[in-house]
Amino acid sequence: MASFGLVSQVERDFVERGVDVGIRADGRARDDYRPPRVELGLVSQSDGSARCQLGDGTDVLVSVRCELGQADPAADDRGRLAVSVECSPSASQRFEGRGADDLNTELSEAVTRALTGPQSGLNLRQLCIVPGMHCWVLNIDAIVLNYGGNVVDALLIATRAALADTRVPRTVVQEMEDGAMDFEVDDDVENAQPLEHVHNVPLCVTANKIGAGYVLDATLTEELCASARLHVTVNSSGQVCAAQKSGDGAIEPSLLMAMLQAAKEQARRLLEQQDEQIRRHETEIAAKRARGEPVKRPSIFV
Amino acid sequence: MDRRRVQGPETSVVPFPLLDDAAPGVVAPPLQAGKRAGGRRPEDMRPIFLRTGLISQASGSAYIEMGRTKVACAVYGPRQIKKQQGFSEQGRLYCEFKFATFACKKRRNHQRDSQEKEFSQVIVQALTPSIRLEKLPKSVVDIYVTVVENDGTASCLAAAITAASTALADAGVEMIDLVAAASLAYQQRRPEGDAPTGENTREAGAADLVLAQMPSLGDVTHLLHRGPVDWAQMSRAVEQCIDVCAKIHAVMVHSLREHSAAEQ
Repeated sequence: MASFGLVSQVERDFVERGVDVGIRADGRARDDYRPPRVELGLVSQSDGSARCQLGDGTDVLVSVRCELGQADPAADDRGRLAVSVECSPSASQRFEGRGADDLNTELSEAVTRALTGPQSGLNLRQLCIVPGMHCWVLNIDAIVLNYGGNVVDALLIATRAALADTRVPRTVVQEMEDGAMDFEVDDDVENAQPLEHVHNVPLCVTANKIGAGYVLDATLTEELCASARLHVTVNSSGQVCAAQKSGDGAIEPSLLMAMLQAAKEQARRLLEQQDEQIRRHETEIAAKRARGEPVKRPSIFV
Repeated sequence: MDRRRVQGPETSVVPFPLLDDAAPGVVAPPLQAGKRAGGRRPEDMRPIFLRTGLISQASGSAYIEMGRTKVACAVYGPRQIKKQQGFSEQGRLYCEFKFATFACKKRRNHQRDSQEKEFSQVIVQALTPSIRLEKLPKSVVDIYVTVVENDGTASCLAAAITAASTALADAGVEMIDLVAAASLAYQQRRPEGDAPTGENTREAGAADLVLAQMPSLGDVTHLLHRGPVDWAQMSRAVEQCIDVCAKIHAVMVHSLREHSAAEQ
């Protein structure tokens, strides 16, 4: 991630030796994860949203909006997801103009790899309205507001929370006299449905190779010193859904397996924490409804 | 009449079943007496044809065929870095990976899409550890990869990495090792090496893996995995890919030796 400025030889040496003996600048051990702070339902214009902060630096915001779209002929009984990640120029001056293009591609593909295809765990048939004609397209748009290291993990934590917060408007399909299908979108949020199987959506944990060892959840300085990174995406049944190396270095096979294993263990803990938080959020919303407080309308009517 | 629009019927059907990676319902044929189509064992790859120096204008080039997967790669440079890209103490790699418009079941656009851009980044990341970039200050090496025929997207990427590394060696760029890449698909929960399109499905449970390695040093330079897979299978698949990389390395060395012998 050379675009974030430089790190001096002495600083690099300090971080590498620290990793060797298991000490990090912020007092964590190599496998320690900064507890993510996640807030759900922040954006009133979207159907689901979440923000995730890691440590003092990293800050990402993810919004999910349901849009009507044409069914894909290759999978005509399913809806689909469209992911885009944008690094805001406010996070670093280097992101101005086209400066973030490469990073945007890399981050979007990393999130896409975790969420499209069978590994997302979502029931995409739920998003079909009229088979072969209309479906819901879930636009997952992420903004990186501040870059403090480990952004891919934060993006998936926020995306998973945003999907749990998402409500898909109900549709009523009618058959016309000439056999054509027509449908109406119900604008009552009370009838909007949550996504099925959100608990199967995976989370990502990144292991950074520094010197001859590795650390989880690296800070920006540690990322600058890392020769290679390994993004590992794991779901709640412990399956590896995606894995990808990035960075310019090579990894020995034994270290590679150790990094995969450590990331998998950490992902399991993160998933448990997040499922607990999502449950709390849902009971809060249910309590609000019971009190008769207003709940937002589906975004396509806003 | 509006000529800017395609004049077609309002309702239409797909003309032929798209045997794309994403097409549902395409299931790999079951094993016959422990062998796949073409008499391969599950872990076997397809036979490789690898030839260097076919593109006369390039500093180095390689062409690889694995079954119907056909990939051409040309290396130009090292050349001086452009002023606007700034000073760099180390050399840089630049890669352009492109599927020919006719390479896949669906026609590709001339402009690179996000998958092609990502594969370009993957190739750079996979090859960078093997090259002595500190020997090439203020320079850039360009790698152009064209997929002529796509028979399994994962196998295309693996073939592209293998070909690019061979082309770099052919161009005389200083390297610490060659990079060999292997791909496999998980079929009904068992890893099968180097799967062509018909076998490589993205049905529920389908998954694939591309692994690049420097076979003499043993270091893994890239790993790209997708699809839900249990931990035990994944670790077995990684080992299987590492074994295959050693075999591919032998082919690369053979074709480089043959080419240099023919030149002398």
